[in-house]
Amino acid sequence: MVVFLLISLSPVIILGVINYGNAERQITSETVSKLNSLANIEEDATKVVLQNSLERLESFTTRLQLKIELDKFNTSQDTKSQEFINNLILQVKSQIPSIKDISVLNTEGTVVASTVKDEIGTDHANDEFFLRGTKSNDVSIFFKDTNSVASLYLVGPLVLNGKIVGVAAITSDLSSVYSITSAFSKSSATGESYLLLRDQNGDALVLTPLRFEPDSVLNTRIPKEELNRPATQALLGNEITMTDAIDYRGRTVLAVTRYIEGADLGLVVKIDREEATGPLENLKYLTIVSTALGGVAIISTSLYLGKSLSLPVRQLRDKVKEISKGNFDVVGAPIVSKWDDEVGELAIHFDEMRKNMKSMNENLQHLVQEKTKELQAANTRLESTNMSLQSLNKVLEEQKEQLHEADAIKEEFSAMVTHELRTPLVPVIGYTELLLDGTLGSLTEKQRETVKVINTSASSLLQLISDLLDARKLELGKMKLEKREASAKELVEHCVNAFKPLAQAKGIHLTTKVEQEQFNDRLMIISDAKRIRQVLDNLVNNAIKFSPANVGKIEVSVKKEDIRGGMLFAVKDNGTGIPKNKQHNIFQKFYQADTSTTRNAGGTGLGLAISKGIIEAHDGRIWFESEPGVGSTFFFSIPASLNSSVAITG
Amino acid sequence: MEHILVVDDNQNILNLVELILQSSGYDCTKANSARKAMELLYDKNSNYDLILMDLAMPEMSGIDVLKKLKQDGLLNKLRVVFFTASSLTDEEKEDLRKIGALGAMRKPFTKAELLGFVREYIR
Repeated sequence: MVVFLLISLSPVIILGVINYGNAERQITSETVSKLNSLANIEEDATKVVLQNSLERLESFTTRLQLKIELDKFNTSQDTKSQEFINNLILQVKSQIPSIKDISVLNTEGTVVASTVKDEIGTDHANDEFFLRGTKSNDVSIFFKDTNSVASLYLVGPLVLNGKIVGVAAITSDLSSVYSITSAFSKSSATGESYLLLRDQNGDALVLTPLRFEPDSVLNTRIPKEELNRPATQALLGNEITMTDAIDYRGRTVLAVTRYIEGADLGLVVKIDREEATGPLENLKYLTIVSTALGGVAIISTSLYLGKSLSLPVRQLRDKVKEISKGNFDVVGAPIVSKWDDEVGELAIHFDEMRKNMKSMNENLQHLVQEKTKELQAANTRLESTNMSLQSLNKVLEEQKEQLHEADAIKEEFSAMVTHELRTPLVPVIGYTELLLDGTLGSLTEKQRETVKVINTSASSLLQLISDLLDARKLELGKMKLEKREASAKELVEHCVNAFKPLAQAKGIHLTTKVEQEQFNDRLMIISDAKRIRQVLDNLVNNAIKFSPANVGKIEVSVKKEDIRGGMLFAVKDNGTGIPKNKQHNIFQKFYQADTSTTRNAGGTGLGLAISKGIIEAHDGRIWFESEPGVGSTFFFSIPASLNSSVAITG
Repeated sequence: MEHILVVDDNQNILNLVELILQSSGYDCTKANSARKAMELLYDKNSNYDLILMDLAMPEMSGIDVLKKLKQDGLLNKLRVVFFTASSLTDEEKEDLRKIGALGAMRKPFTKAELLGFVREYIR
């Protein structure tokens, strides 16, 4: 129905549009020709203003007396000459109202005379107006003065006998230019003209006030890339007419552009398209009303025709709707057709089709019911399987939890055992120490020896407890490393200082060797310093134990292993050494090369196994070189890497 | 004379600590349970320069005592340090500090270690 209406209305609409288009074209061309003549007038007027400025400048720079006095002042600094020039420029200023100020500069760019007293003596050697003024007469430097009013510099060289003696700089206001560009805006609602100059980037910079943007002077910029803007086209030197240009307000405008050569200025004269085509509004209403009237006539005719045709079609549609819902038994009123024609035939065939579909549907339903039963049975089987899997899963979960619990209990147990074993050792070690240091009175030599044995044994037992706990943690991978930055140099030195008394007591020479690449290099490593110290202590303690009294020499050293900052530690002794056939077992638990020394040297037999575990937990390596009868050196290295895991595996 | 309250459920350890402290010129009061310690600390006339307390005690642990003191607003007047036969990680020591303890020391200890520790934390 809607399509039909559109088709029948289209000739009316097309005629209206053509009519409207013709009128629009005519009005546009009239407006454009008006804009063009305005642009020509304004271009000429602007050129005249610039020409006048140039002439004004020339009449100043050719004043002979001025140049003679300036030359005199340049050579003799005669204040009379300066006074003469100052008086002269004041006089010139008072005669010509558009001149704001005049300055005369020497060839170095320093102001010699000026109508602005503060200017005298200031240096403009690097300013653009001075540099241009030394070359030729120039009236194209626009700028904003201290009151933000747009102004123009008239600058030119002062030449005496073929030699430049200074530069004249006149500032002029732009009122004469403004009066040219403001004329158009007085006679229309949106029409305006404006001048543009080129900034350092080549973009257009607005020189005269914009009608709808009062603050535009030397402020509003139009980027050179925006080619649909009249300002851009003007500065490209294109003197053209634009009927769908976009202005600074984003409106579509009719515009003409001009380019003023020499001054490198662009001129735009434009008016909003809406204002230019305003008279077309009446025509538009006329077109709409006539189209609407035509539409009403067509609709009433087609409604009458449509009713007789569409009634049977609607009945058919309602029945199809019922069938699509699954109601195949719909019979209802027979389809009424005034004409015994195609519509009547369609109704008969439709009823046959309905009956066929009904029987097909019944067959299909039967089939679906059978398949559904089969699926339900399969589903029941799956559900029972799922249930047994779930219960199995639950059992597994429970077992897992129990294992976790067992682990936690084990850990708790070893912590508790350690605590309970240590507690009774507190008074044993404490009291024996007080007995030995005389706090509890003096002892006989024999008593003293006995108490010493008790104290040493208790200390060994304490060490054994700590070692067993460490070994257990390493085995379970539960040793926590508290990695921080630490100085390897200090680690070595603190260890050696702690063992000095023990070494001295046995007459062993214990020294350190720290290879510092630079002064103040503290050889930093990331590690659990306490644990590294434990390894160092263990190695040094072993070295003292197995070194001969009075001739033993032990050296503890550290140096950077590679450029990445890995650290190599070494503990070197000249002790008994390790027999070749025992060397491969040395890092095993409860192992000592010579079982007889165990009794002599003490120790738990866990030290090296724990040391190996600690170093490997740091991703490091521990090894040794040994020659029986010559001595042993134990090495371990800690890599520089910062990202090794904190929790470790045994 | 500086006055130290020592709290431990092991009488032998209490006596040992008392002996060491007194031989170095400290005044020492002993409490062999957390409850006894609380009684002494809640006495308005009490004035201790340091409280040296065991961590693991039956019925009420050292941490429980500390929390109770904090709750009752007494902790800001007291200086509490712990000693324990358990191994403490740096993390655990930090946790003790967070709830208001000044420091922690391991057991067993040498005389020098105990005196050094006391000197570090006493008022």
